[in-house]
Amino acid sequence: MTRLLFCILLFAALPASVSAQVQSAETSVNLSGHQDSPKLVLSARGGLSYLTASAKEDKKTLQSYGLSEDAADDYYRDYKLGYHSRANLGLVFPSGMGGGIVHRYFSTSAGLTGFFDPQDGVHLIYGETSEQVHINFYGATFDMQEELSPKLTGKLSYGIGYTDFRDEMIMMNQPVLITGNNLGLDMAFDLQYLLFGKLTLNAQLSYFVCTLKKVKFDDGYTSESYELSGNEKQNLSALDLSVGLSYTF
Amino acid sequence: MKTIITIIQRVSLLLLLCVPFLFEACNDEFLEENANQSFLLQDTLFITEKTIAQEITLGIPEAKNARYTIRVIPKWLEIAEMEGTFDNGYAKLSVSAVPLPEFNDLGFYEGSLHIYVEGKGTYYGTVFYARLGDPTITVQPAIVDFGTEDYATVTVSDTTANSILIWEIQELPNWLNANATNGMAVQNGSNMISFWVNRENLEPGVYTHNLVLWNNSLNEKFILPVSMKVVGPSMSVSPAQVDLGVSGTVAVTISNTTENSTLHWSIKDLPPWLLVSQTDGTTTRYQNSTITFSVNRENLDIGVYTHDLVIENDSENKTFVLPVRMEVVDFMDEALTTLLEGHIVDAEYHEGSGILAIITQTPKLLQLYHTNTNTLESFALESVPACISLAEDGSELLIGNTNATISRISLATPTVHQTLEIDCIPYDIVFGGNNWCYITPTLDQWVPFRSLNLQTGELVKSSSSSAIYEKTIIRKIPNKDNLLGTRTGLSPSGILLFDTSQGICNENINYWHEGIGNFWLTEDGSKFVCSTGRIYRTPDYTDDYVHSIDISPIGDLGANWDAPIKWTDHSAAANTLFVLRAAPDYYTNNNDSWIESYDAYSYEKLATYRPMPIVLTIGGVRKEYETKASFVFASNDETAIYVLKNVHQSYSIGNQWAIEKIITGN
Repeated sequence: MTRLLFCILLFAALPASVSAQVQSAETSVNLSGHQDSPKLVLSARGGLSYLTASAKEDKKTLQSYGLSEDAADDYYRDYKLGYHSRANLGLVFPSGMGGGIVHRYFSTSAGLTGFFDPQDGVHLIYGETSEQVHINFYGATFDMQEELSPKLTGKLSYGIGYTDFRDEMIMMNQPVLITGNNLGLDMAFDLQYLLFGKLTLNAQLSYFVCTLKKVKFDDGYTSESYELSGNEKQNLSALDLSVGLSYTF
Repeated sequence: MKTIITIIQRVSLLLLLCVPFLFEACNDEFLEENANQSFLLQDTLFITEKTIAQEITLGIPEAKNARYTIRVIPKWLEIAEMEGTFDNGYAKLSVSAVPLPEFNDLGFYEGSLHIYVEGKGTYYGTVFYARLGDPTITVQPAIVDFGTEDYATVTVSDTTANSILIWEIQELPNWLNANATNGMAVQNGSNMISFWVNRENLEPGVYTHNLVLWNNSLNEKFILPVSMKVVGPSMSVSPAQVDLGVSGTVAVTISNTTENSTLHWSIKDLPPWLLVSQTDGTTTRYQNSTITFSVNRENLDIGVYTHDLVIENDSENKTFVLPVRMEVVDFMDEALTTLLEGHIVDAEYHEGSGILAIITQTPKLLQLYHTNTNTLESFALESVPACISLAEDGSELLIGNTNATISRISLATPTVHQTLEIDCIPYDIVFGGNNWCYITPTLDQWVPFRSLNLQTGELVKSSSSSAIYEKTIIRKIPNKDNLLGTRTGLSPSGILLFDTSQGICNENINYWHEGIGNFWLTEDGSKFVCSTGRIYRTPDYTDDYVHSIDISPIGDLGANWDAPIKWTDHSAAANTLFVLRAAPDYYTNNNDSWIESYDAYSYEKLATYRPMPIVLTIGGVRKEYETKASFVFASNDETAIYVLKNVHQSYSIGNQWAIEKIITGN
């Protein structure tokens, strides 16, 4: 639903851009062509992400269910390395300052199949433990850019917004859906290389910060919310490295 | 060039717009897709610490050919492949026990087994792990031979201290049952198994079987040899011969005296005159079958008919021969049957003269039947007779009357030539032969004994007013001055021995405390037969005081409480005792009576005779009436017996007595 809302906003921005070009002839504002007018920029990029939170305690938890250290390491290695996509729509003023909206989607997964010890003293559980994590961030950004050469521009962005967390977990064959949300911060540094015309190639290094203090567990039968405290808090922070394209209208 | 750049720019823009859609953000159906249904497994898995790579078959028919994953197992269970595919609802699992220190104690451990079947859900089952140690099986006895017995007990023991013995008998032969087919003996413990055999419908022979006691000792297949014997049926027939006499029926009992087999029997070659209630049958163990024989005498010539009936059967002897005898007589032949007037109250037979003296009431008659000529004389009496006694020489007789008088009658000229008054109603009287007679009263309980001088009429009562009891029977011991008596009103009736050698009865009466009922002396008086069937030697009188229990039977003709002995007569010439058995008069539905003959020395039963019916015309209707005998006397020529009989009271036609001569052929 939230994704759909973002898309609607994005599409709504396009006619606005076209409308701005039309109006530029009638008024003094020319978003597309005038040297002093703000420019509308649409960019999209994707790349790898690395969750920066420590998985030490989680590994111990896995090991307490009878998994080897290597298996736990493998699991969290997979878990911490994910991928992301970003989409930005913003205005850049001649001064290099600007602002806009951003959507970041992050996903990672991990899984293993084997024997687990449920610690009941009698049984072993054979099967799957896996996670599929989806994080969506919707925020507003404040941008600053500086022309480093005729074709190369550097850009810094600060974003703040709503973060939606969803972890589809199968814990020892039992499905559990964990959801939560909180405020997220996004800081990015872009290097933009003008390919030709209005198309720019981007390389971005960003850091996304978010911590969940409350989550909801749903196993299909019961649903319950938990306040997390101390080490329990779910750290969703990640370092993103991405490449993409920008189109300046 | 500009156009190309423009196209690239437009495509890039389009791609930028599409990027958000390239990533799947979430899946709203995650929980529904992973929803699980639960079922219970029907089978329970059982393993021991010795289970290694044992292949078991798991059946979940509805799984068909679905894939499965075993999701939960106990730690002590190892399954070679945790995932696989069902083959038409069955999956083969290779299971092994995992020895773990925490499950090392002797005993049983229970765990769960969860199997996830794709497209179905999760099946939950139970699995047991038994730590049994190394038991040693001992079975006592090591061989069970029932023989012909039904029951046997076997003890299964574990003779090792730290172990559990589990045993199971998987298959019993169909003739063997057990109260337990599996068990567990814990640490030197034992189980007792009760076996019993069922021989029903089994052919005779010896049956053997090696029982296998599967167990967890090193001797995992303990063999227990079991055997038993089926004996064929055994048949006995009682009576061993059938004498249907001249009328009536005879019930024959066929008994199966074995405990195991069913007797099948069939009567072959029936003569046309013989009727039988059933000609074949089966008699189960220890049971009897009763068949009734009767005779169709229609159109048969007068005579004796005999036939050896063959009863084929499946006992060892295969055939049993049952002799059957019957007679066809003209039972209204005057030579055989003589009708009498009145109701007989007493009778005596004098062998020497062949005179049968009978006294009757209503009318009051003395009837003398001359057995030598089959003629009857009747003489009216003035008093109502109660008892009669013939002199030993047969010249006279005495009749005790209910009016306390004694009538003395000479048989030469049968008239009352002397009437003597006494002081009581006589119950029994004995002609002493020494001009004395002896009388017992009918009433007054404990009473003195009476001696009556027939010449002077002097009546002497014993000084003891309680010498005897009312209704005491007395009989003269032949050729002796002694009387033998018994008190019918007391129990035990006792045996009284009187001395009459001095005329007046001796005050000293010898007594034996024995229940005999009525009794009858043999011709020489040396023995007497009682209504109980017992035979005693007649004790000698002694002047000493005798009050003893020291008297024992010397023979026994057998008791029949449905038809006790009612009368007995001895034929010394024929060395035969004729014993009349009759249903008591209070048996309204049983008017049976018959005469049995016994060897007087060995007491072996010789023959049975039944009284014939008589033919009466009442109200213009001529009809046969069954009779019941009350007296039997052996003739002096050894060839016949005389039976005094009356029609059955159930006819309600009153009394119709008759004398019947039965030819015994001796």
